[in-house]
Amino acid sequence: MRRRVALAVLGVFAACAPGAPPAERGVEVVEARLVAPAGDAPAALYLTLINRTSAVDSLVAVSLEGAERTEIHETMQHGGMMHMTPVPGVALPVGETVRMAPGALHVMVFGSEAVLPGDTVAGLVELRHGGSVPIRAVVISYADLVSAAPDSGGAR
Amino acid sequence: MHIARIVPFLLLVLGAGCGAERPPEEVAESGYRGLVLDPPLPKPDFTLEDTDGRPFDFRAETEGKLTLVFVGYTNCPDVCPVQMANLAAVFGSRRELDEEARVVFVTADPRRDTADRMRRWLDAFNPRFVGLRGDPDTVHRIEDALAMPRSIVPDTAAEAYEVGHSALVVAFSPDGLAHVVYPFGTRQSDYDHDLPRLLRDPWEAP
Repeated sequence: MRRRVALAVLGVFAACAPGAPPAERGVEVVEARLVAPAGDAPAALYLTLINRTSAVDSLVAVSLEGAERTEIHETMQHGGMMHMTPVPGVALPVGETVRMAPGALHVMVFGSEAVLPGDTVAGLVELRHGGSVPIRAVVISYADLVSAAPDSGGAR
Repeated sequence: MHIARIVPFLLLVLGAGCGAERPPEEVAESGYRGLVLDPPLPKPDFTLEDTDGRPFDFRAETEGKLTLVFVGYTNCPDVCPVQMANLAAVFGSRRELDEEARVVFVTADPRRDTADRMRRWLDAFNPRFVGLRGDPDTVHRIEDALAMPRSIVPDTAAEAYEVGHSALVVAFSPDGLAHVVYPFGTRQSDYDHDLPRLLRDPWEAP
């Protein structure tokens, strides 16, 4: 798994190397934050993506080095009840920024290796049309998550 | 009682679809950023097992203390740890809370949430946070008493499943009544604003 991700990363870098034909601007992952799990809980990954292409795309899968599997989840509220539901994909409208956040969208990471805040973990984001995009997720703590998020703390 | 049930429900519905949208920033007439319940909720009477395997008599153990109750599950990577982390941050920065207030986490998922598992999970936030587990009927009775919808655990033999549960933190004041509740989306700064006031507020009629 580790090797496959590394190769994929190299492959993408190669495509950007000088001399390569200019590619259309793609879907950019501008932020990838992996929250170190509490106890034995699964981890949550929050991505921010911008679709800079001229066609609608969607995020369909995410793989992370050292993790068994991931699911894209949406947190729904019905009658005062919160419930997470796996979703098959996340639409990425043209020119728009899609920001995953607590209480809305997250990638649930099962069976991940132990990570500590400050670590980085390589992964791949798979798109329905745009191929795959390598990511390097920065590991943060839940305290970082809630103090950094404008919705759950920080400066007023 | 009727209002107590309806108000949090309405706010949650208003919040739905906005994801992480914040609740109104203004301090309400009440002086609190949480949702004030009128009439307040009485403290439920129950005994569940804590993470040391000892019976925890909720009323007796929390008497005279500001007590923040949350029903959730440790396999929850999103809503539950965010509420816990916000409370932990405020407890960590305000000594009076760490001494005079308690956080009580009741698991809605006793099958997977063993005492050990809950302890490790809570320790990641604050080792003084209390974790309680009991049978589903008792948990449902507690949720009823807290004016929350009943949690839903899927009937499955699988190890991976999601639990539906209320995202409210119910705050029992030292007078033994819950006057204020906090929906998901409550920020750390809101708790930091409200919790010290809750410690001191006598809630006497004007």
